[in-house]
Amino acid sequence: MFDAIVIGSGMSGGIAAKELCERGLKVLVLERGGNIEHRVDYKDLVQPWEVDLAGRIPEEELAADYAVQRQCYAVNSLNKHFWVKDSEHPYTTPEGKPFTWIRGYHVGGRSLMWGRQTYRLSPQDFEANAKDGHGSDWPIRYDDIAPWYSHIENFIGVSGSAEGLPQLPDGDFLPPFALNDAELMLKTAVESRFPGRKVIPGRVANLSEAREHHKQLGRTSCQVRSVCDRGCSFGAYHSSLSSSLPAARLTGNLTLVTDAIVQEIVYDPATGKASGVRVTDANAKVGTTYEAKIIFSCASAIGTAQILLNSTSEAFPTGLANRSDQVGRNLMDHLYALSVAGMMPNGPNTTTFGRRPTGLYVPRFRNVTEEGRDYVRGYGYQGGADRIGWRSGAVSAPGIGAELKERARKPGPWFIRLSGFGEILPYADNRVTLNANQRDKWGIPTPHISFDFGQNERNMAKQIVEDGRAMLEALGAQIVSVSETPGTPGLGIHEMGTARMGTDPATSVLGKFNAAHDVPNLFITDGAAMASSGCQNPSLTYMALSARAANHATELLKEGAL
Amino acid sequence: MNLDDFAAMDRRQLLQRALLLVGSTAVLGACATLPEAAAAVAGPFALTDAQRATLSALADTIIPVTDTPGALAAEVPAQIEVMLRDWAAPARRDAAVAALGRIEALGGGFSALSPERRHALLNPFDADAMVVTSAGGTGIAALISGPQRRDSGYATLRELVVVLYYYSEIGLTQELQWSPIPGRWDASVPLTPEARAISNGVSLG
Repeated sequence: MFDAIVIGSGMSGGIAAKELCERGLKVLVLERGGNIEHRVDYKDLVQPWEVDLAGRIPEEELAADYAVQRQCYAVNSLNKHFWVKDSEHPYTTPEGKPFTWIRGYHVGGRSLMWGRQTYRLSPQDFEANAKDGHGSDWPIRYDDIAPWYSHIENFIGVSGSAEGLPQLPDGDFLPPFALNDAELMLKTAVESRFPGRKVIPGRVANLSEAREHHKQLGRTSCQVRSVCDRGCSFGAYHSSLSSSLPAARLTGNLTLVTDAIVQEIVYDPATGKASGVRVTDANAKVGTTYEAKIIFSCASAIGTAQILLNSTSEAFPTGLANRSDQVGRNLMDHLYALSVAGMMPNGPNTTTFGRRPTGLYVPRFRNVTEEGRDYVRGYGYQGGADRIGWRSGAVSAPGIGAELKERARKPGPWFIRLSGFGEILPYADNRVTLNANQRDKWGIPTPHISFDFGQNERNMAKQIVEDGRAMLEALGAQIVSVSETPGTPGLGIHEMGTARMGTDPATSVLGKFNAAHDVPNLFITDGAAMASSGCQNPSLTYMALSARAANHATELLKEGAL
Repeated sequence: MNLDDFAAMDRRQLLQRALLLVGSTAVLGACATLPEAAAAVAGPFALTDAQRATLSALADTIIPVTDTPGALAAEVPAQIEVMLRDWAAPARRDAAVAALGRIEALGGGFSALSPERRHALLNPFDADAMVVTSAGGTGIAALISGPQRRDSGYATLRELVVVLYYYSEIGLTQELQWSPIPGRWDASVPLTPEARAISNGVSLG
């Protein structure tokens, strides 16, 4: 019998485990994937000329095993072991409505490959549902979570600049990775042409300057290599492997079981609580049931929905904690891949040194300082400017011999791009259900993911592109590429909302401390909990909710309330 | 951070960057030019000695010795053969091998010609072969496959020559600027006339 079971060892699970362990609870973390050893299993220290097949995955293997994962920019032969084989982990979507589910099943989950962009939601974001009536009202407001944002930022290490913006609150930041001269030109152009808009350094969970507590966990300052998606032997970005699980382990309270595929969370009708978790060993296919006083589900939005929907009993015939019928519904992502790019004919006569692990960020301004044309909510942009390197000159353009070499060795002109991230509203019909007739190799019904953009998203997408174009034009850039079609849903890799928080048990799954309305000792602190998506990258919020819920659960446990 | 590195910037920009800058070639749709001999070969793929001679001449012509060593010193041809064997799908591999035949036909025996003559013949061939004939589909499919070139088999070979050279120790340390562990970020460095393009190492999936 454990005090707590945490399902999943990724971004949310790692923090939940750490926070519970540090409060003295005996914690079991169940990870469905295999083990990955920090440093040992990373390929970040090889020289480019030592890399087999130029970092490429064989084309036939890519087509056979990674049909979905290959759509993620970060997949390559050096981190292939971090991504699921789609052939082994099937799911379905309706005809003509693709959903791209990008995943990694191993200790650390997607915290190992995440983009590390780290932003707070704002007071406006927590009030949005109440204000415009979409989704369930968040049962918390910004002030409830603000201290937990600070707590997480300090622990994980976030590089960024204080800007004093109400729509993007400042945090406890390490020094920013400064904008380069071309980006500063954009900043000047945008901020003078469009008062209220800002161009700021991208906030990123890389240790621009390691603090003492980071060093104590074996983490060092960022070496500015930009090979983060291979895992970092310096531990310079936050992941469960570099950061939260080592902290949990130091307490002596952590037990980690890998290859443990959760079948269901077991409900005890006598107590009205969850009593444990039934798992199947991924390899031996032997079943085990673990018991605990509290359960945290941190299996990712779709994973958690799948587990809840598969946890049926007489008391919960449609899935555990699903009396509201909201489990699996309100699936959200972010509008993604709406991009504008251009060349800067009058760019600065400078260059840069180092490979910064971030770029620039344009905080939301629509429905903040400028009205949105025909939609609610808003969007921000990530982007950056760089001098074009050898590849475009040498690979894409014709011309051979000494002329090619001469062209490729010269630093190219500045190239700048902005890519919008737009808020997607929660819709009841965007949902995860289980396939009655398709099971995976462990006998679990596979997820069926149905997702569509609404009119609000379609309208917003248009203005994302228009605003992006206008900002680059204000800079005097020559637009060379415009991407007007949103990326396939899921490709933002910010799926969330499938067990939303809310004040009313009839219309929401979780209460204000992430406990299920229907099952008081079941806490869900991954993306499933989100009542709205904001337009900010969400991992920081998942971690803050996890820490806050862990603190509350521990208090309840100590009070004897659970 | 510069445009060569898919991991260097916020990850959300990368598809856009790929659209613009990835020079990867499309899988050849039709196999009409597939030599019968290649189709009949069993066992691990290997080039014939004649094809190896053509490939070496091609690599040496695309990336010759200048004030720095070229593709031959960087052992690019042998690596391309490994790529064709272990990375390329059959359609791409067959198209590349077929292109070697067309290249060898230049000047009636390309591999035996002088470097100057090879350059003179390959330069117009290259310009014609690299003409973009279509974007290679739409959306993600286009990003994965890259634009369609008029001679996709040649485009594969050409891309491999260039990429493997600029990933090689010679290409990275003698031709470009390469810093495996920069250790710091300097957002503004004066650009001198002798500055070289900065490489970010391996960046393609």
